[in-house]
Amino acid sequence: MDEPSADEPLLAIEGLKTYFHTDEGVARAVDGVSYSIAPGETLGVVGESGSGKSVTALSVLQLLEMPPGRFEGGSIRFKGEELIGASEARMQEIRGDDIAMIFQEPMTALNPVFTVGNQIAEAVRLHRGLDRDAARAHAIEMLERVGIPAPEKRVDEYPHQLSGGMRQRVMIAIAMSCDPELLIADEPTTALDVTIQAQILELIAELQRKAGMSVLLITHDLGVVAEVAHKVAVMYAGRVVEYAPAAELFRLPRHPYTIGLLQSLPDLATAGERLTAIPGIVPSATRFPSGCRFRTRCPLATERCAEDVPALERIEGGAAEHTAACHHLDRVGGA
Amino acid sequence: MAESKRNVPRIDFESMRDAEAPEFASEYAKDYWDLVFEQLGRRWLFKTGVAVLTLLYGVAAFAPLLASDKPVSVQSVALGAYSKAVRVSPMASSALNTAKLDEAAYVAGLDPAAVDAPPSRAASVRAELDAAQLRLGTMRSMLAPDAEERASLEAFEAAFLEGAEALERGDGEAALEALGRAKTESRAIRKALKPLDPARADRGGVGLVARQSQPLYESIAAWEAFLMALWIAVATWPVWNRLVNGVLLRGNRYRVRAARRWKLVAVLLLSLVCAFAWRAHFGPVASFDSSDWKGGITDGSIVLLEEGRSTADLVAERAESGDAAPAGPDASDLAVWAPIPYGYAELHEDEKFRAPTWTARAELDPETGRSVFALASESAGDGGAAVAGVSAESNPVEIRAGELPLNHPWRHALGTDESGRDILTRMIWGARISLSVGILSAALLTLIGVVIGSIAGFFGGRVDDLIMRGIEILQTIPALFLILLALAFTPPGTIPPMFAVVIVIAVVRWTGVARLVRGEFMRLRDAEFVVAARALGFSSRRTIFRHVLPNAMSPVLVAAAFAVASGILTESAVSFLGLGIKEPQASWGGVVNESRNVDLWWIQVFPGLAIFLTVTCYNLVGDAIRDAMDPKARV
Amino acid sequence: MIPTTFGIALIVFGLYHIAPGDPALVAMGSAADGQGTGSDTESKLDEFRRKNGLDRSFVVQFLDYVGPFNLGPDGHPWFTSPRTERRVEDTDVPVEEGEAPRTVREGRPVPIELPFGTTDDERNALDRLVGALGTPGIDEGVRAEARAELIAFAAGSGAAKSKALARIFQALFENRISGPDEVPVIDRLAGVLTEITGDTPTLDAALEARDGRRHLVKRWFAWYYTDGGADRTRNTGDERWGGVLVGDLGRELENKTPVAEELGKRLKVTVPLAAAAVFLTYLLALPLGIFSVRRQGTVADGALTLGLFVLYSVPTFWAGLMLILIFGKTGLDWLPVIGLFDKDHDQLTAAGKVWDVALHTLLPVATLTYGGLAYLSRQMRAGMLDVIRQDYIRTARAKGLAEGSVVYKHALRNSMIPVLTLLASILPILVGGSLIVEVVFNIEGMGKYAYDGLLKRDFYIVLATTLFVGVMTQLGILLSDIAYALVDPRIRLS
Repeated sequence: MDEPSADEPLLAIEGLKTYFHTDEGVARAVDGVSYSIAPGETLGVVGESGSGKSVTALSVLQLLEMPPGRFEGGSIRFKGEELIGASEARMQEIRGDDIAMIFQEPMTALNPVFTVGNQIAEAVRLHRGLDRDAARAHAIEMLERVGIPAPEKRVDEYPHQLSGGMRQRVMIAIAMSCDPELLIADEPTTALDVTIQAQILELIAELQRKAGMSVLLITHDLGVVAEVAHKVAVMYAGRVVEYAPAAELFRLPRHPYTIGLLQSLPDLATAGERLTAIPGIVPSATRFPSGCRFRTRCPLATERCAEDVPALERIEGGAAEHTAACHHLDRVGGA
Repeated sequence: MAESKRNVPRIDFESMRDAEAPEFASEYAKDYWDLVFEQLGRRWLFKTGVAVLTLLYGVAAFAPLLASDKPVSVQSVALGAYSKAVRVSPMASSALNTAKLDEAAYVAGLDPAAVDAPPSRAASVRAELDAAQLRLGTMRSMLAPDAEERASLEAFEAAFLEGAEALERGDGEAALEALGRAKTESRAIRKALKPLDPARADRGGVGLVARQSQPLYESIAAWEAFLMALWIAVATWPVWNRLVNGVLLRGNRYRVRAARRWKLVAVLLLSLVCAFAWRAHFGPVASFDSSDWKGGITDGSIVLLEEGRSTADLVAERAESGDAAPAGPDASDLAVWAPIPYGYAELHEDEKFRAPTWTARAELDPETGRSVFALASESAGDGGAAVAGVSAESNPVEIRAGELPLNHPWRHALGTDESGRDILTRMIWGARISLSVGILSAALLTLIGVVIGSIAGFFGGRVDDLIMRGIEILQTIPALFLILLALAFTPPGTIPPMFAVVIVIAVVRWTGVARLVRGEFMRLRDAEFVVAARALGFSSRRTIFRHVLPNAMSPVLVAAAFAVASGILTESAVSFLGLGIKEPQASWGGVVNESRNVDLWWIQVFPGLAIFLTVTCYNLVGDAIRDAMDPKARV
Repeated sequence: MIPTTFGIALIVFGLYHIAPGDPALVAMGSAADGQGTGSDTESKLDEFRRKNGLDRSFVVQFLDYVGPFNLGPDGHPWFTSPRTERRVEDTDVPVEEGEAPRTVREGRPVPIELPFGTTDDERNALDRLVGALGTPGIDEGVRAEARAELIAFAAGSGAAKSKALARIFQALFENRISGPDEVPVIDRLAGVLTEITGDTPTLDAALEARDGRRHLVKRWFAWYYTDGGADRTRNTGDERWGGVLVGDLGRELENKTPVAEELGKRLKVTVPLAAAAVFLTYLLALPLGIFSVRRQGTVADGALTLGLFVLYSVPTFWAGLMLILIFGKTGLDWLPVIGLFDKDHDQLTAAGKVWDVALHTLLPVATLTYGGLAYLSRQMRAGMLDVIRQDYIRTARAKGLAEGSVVYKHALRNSMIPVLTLLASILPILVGGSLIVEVVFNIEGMGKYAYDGLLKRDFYIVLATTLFVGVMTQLGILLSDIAYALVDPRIRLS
């Protein structure tokens, strides 16, 4: 495995457009999204449901149903290799081996009719060519690594015999079984109890440190991002609206949407203050408003917002990588 | 972090609170049925299915107008009816004989088996008088208004009436005398009022005036008129609905929604009004309409004649213009027939098992009525017996009034059956039975299923256990077996076969719907909106009937659509096996049952196609409705 | 399963009796069409009813058919009847040398229990009096004397004794009075007792007090024997069990062949046909479903789906007729269309016989298969599509599995679960279809047998075939449950 050079990101997404052609019209679920992840880095992608964050991730692995889904432009480069247009065979080599993914619902993401061990071993046998016994041994080892007690016993059990947290651990074991360079975690903790959430995040962070892999963490939970991500991309209605190092985002959010998200976050420190929610809901992907898509819910919106699409701009006085897409960045100054 | 948070930029979202993005309003204004209709409108298979079904139901509703042996309109003199009516003397003499008897002797002579025999002499004479008056009415309607002979009718009636009244008073003497007079009069009537038959003008008689009548319309009952009106209203729905929505309701979605129910009521009311109007105009279905018009016209007992002219005029004209040439317009203009001039039970014994007349095989020799094809193959030594059924003896085919010529390609477009009944006609009339069995059985089984399912779901516990156990057992037996069994052991004549089939299908097939409803009850019982309703303090009964049941209806509706299809299939199978609809009634499956001989392919092919087409359409429609009603599928 | 079978029998029996009109009339109407009218028919009808036991009570007919309560006039050893009070005992039966000793459960008459304190004199006196009262045809004078004596006996003893008397009286009567009589035993007793005791409780109340529920059972049996007609059951009481329970399905009304025998013969034809159809259905439906899913959205998938849909709407009988028209001698003349064998079947070689039967069964099996096939592959497709959208399929894809192994390994097994449960619902369709197919192709199988039975209104044939089909369906359900458990570990463990 060749080491990527320091300045080349592991995964670079550039202007990605993934549209869905439905009865209702074209849903522009992902519309010009760009971000990149350096080796060993954790990128958090934040947004409400329907903002296109999961679709972006699924686009990377090309796990979307095509049709109705379709790439309409942009590029996804993994270690310099262009993935859009790559053959299905090549994608199959990459999936599970170089890029692995864990999903939101541990209850349904495991096949109910196969044993846990079988499902872990499957990927190893496929990508590493291990025989049955070696794969089984590897599965047990993986179960141990993700902290499942009595792995020799668990390996022969079926998913319905495990608790939710255990299943998510198994999912992680499956994803980690081939030592991927990039782990995409799509809301890995949403369906779990709070205490289990912390354990799972801890586990992912620990495995990342040990294996030195990159993590693309998709979540709607800003708290999770604050805990583990190095950088954060905030998505709204199919576009990245703000991109910043994690610490700076929380300190100095610039996009009205990010600000709204943070304002709606309850915080022990600010207890007693009134929480403000962003009014309205995310518009349906088939009928996004023109110009800035957040304008229908934004108190700062002007006519210009309806006409021009704001581009990501560097924030003056912010970190080098801090960008935001708003025509009125000056009006939300740091004061 | 808490420290830095205080410096985080803030935006006042409160100002946005009341503003609702206007361009999304329409999306929220659509209700469930809007979405369902929108979905359905997108499917061309659904639309095709509905169109074909509408056409088929149209054929069923308008069957009498499409295929009937009665003329739509005819100008004629019913010589035969008059000749029968002119015989009033049997009534008079019978009345006289009764009056001669002693009251006690009359009562003693009553047959105890005859329940409806008049209990006294007076009543008996009254009955005879009624019968005579009926005939008098017929005669009066046909005699010229200024005919002198009418006087003898009056005299006869007056005498008869006097006799009856005298007997009622108990005045035997007067009764005998009056009835005696009536009898004498009746003989005179028979002699003096003999009809003038243009074919035998030399025998003389009274000229009869032609009337115009509409036997076909008169034979249509009010309920048939109702269905026809209903069909028209439904079939033109896309047109007037758009008009009403656009013009009357000005496209306001909420008004349109509120008007849905009223449209339905209006359609039903309108159809009812049509039915009443029909009834008022044409009167009850008259029994004399059942007279064989085609046979009558063919054999001359009904003479076609322009309205208002009398047979005397006709005879006079003929005498003037020389005997042979019939005067006036062509007789065929005087009788207008339905497009297919056959009744569903009309027999053509001499044309039995005739192949569709557009095929070469069907050609008959006009002289002998034998199959030309059979003769040809016979002479070729090919064994002409292959064409089964076609009569071997020489027997010329009778072409009745209104029918197409013997070897016209559309004479029997789909062939005939073993009694020479026209298959196309039988299929048109069979559509009525087959389609109604489908609809009625589906409606009935849905009703039974919903009631029993609701009981199981509402009460739960032991009642539920019991019902579910019963359903399980019932479902173990193949439905066809049960249906056949029930029909086999229901003697014909107890219930009209169509209703027997409907009831049996419903009684056997309700289990699916019941399970569905019960399942929905169980599911919705704990659904949030039901819990919410309960939390608001609504009684459980109100919750069930206002919230649960309507929600359980959409899967039931889908099941009902499929039940119609399966009802039609079942009816056809049962009738095919000879245990359902029987001759002379027609149903698609029953027509197929008439012969399984492979040489008579037309009997098997065409009705089967009709069943197949209908069932396919129903399944398409049911499938589309299911998809449209399933919110999951829409995402 | 047995209760369900019992239920099926009850439903069929019920339909047969509830159907408007006299079953005897219907059955005879077709057995002897157009024979006589009026009172002649009436007497024939009566005779027919008596001969076939149709004049008995519905309950008795049903129990007689099903078989668990075939009580002879002396009662079943496990129950007591009003005529004989019995006690069940195990008795060792003397056996021949070398045979294993046997024990037989037998009912024996029970000595009558009289109330405590009844002297021997009293017992004998009562015995004599009651005997005199109960003997049929006894001289009226003697009877009156005995009655008077009894009344005197009771009068001297007060209310308490009258109750005891009632008991004695009843017990004695039950044992002594025999032979059919117009008035039921219990009613006669009631009359006498009222005479004796005047205002004392009626017999019913007295008996209730003593026997409670047992009394009800007795009353029931009393009715069972007298008005119910249980004296004319098929099992005369020599055997403990009878009817369907021991495989006795009755005899055909017309030629009296045992139905079970004929049914067995017919099943040898129907079962292989049905099995072939089920096998073919599944064999074809699986690949069709998989094909549809793998080519989802293509023209081929659309055409296949629509084709199956259309096929699903074809009436079975019409499909059969059309196949005959197309492949029979009027059409392509490729295949034989009637029956299962050629006329010269016996003269053929073994291979020739197999070929002959194969040719003959081709069309019937095709007719039997297509409906289920259309249904099943539609379900299979829907199931597959449902499964293919599941999260775990995405997980499998995310592992880098090839599409083939995703479909065949991960999706197929999961989508088999609903399809296997359909076996239970396909079987009844298939059996219903086999009736039509056998009629259309003139195959002497069970379906045709049932149909002929229906036409002849032969109740025994109809009930036997329906029962059998019900049992077969239940076996199907059982089978699909087992298959389900094999495929789905969630079921296996619970």
